[in-house]
Amino acid sequence: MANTPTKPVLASPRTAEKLLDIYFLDMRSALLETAATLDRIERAENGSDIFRDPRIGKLVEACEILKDGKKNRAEQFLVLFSDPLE
Amino acid sequence: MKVIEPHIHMIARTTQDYERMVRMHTVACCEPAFWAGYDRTSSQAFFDYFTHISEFEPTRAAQYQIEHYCWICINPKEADDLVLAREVISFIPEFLHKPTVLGIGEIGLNLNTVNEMTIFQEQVELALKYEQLIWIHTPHLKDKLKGTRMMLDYLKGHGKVNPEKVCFDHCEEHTLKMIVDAGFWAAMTIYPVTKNSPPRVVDALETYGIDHMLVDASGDWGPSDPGTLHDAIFEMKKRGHKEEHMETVFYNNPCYFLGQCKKFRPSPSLPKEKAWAV
Ligand SMILES: [Zn+2]
Repeated sequence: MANTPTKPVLASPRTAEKLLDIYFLDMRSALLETAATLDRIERAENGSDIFRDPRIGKLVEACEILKDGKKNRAEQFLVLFSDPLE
Repeated sequence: MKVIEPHIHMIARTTQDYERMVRMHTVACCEPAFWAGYDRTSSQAFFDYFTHISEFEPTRAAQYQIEHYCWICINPKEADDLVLAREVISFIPEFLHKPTVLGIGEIGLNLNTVNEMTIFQEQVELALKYEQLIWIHTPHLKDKLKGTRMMLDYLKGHGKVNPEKVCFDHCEEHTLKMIVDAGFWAAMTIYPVTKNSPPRVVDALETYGIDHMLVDASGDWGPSDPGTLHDAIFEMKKRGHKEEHMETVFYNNPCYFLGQCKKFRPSPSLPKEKAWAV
């Protein structure tokens, strides 16, 4: 895991600041949709019970990946949602 | 800039998609044999399907100046029935000599079962016997990591498989490195919700480079769109990448991989050593 190279092979011509300008609202929107969807599920019948569903547990674990500051977040995210290799 | 769509199921698309593709400078598309959205009831249904994608679909595409190629196989979703799968395998060689058939595909795994793996291996042997290229479907979602590993380990340990002649499709961040490191071709599918988005595809190109990489839209009967390929080109533009690198990924690379089959006619604009030097 976390096995992707650290240096890009096709370097980004844009600076980090410029990329943040381009993608900030997309990132904000993706997280907001998740927050609103959790609210929607909770408002429905059996709303609070459904929060014990392991799929929601995985989503919460995925948020930890965003918080822990390690690289290769997308890769870690997908491994979290994968069957184990045994 | 010319574009080649390496993976799309045109049997499930309208003629308007051909119109849109030609307007977006798509010059060729490739249709791997796959599941129809329902299980077929006999091997004869596969025979008819192979006839459709190798005979009728090229004539439909030609009306839009697009060259249509295909791949033939028993797909992984219907490979769990060994008797049916072997009946289908028995007549695959009849199709391999047709002028637009590029090889064996999309073979692979769906739920990573023992039977699926058996049929995968039998079709790898078929490809080797008839000197065919191989196009591999990797499983979806939670099954992808394990299934990709199973097929990769098998092919690496086989001894007679040339990685240059094999492309793993539907790769994502957690499967790319193992495929690229082993020298195989990797294709990324832009497919809403369950596979890649255009920005993640460009992330992978930045991370792993542009050699041995393909991008496809895998349009079929589910929510999908051949235009997403062009969304990825726009994404590269947005990030300031050079047009020559876009051409490498979306036109020349398909020519390098698919051109290993002499029947594939589009030719690259540059030798690959030049195109891959970034
Ligand atoms: Zn497909």
